[in-house]
Amino acid sequence: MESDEELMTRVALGDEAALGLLVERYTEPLQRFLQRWTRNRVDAEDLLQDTWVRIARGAKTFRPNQRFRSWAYRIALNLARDAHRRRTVREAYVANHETAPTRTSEDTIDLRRQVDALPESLRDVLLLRYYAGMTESEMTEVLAIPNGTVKSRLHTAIRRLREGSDHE
Amino acid sequence: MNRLCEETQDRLSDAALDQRTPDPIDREHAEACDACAQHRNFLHTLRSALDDVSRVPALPMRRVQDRATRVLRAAQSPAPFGKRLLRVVGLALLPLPFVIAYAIGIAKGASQLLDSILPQSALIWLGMIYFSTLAIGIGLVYAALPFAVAQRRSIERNSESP
Ligand SMILES: [Zn+2]
Repeated sequence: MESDEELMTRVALGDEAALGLLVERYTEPLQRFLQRWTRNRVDAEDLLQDTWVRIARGAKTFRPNQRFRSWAYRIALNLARDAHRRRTVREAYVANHETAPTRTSEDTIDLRRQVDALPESLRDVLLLRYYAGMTESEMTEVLAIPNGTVKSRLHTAIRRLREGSDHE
Repeated sequence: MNRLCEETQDRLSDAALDQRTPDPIDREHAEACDACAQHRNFLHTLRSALDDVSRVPALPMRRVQDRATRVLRAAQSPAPFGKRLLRVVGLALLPLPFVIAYAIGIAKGASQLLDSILPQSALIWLGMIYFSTLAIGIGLVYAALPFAVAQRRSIERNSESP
């Protein structure tokens, strides 16, 4: 199987089939990541489309010694952050909140709320790790922070969630 | 919490975030230890909280693919000839005022120098030759631009088609 970076090198030359393969590989995990990040399905879908548009448009600027996954998630994360900043009224997000599926237990819903309420810096590492399966070194590329910081943020995120769930 | 529990819980967390089952040794420990069992339960709830999102219907892949492909195609095709020529001519016009100012400066200097030696009519004639040669030179440079742009485009097109 061709690596993401090999495919991306082909995309840079205009290979549409290579782009199609990358879309197949990454659309679902990217959508799950954006969905949890934005907490809003419609926003996540828009951002997903925009992410692929940026990837296609910026294909020529992709350097083969980069990791595609880090590059793609950095684009997605930056778009999500920009969109979030543009929303002046924070409540807009809450109003559009996806309602929890009825089968879900109380604890699960509480914990999901806690994940949503985590500070952005902690939430980013948690979501990149869980939905993108990223290693610490990949996250340092996406978030432009040192390896040790990634580790400690992940640790803190888990600890906070655990403390929050113990108190309830 | 002792060191063993702390390390076990870290490994349990790693396994949960990697969406895999923990190692047997950690599982055994968690079965015998209340603190780690609690942590495991918490991680279980965390996973179901995060997995909720996977129940969201996926966006039709075709739609994502089509749009990305259109953008890729647009990004690959060279800019239209007229637009590119305009850009090149615009750039080439930037130094023109300096060239003209420089040429006028030279002509003024020469006329001051030759004023006492040559008659007025000879000076006018020399001036006309100087400026017309300059105008033809500049004209040729600008006239070559469309050909240069066309040449560049055809090179780009040939290198794109395999
Ligand atoms: Zn223990």
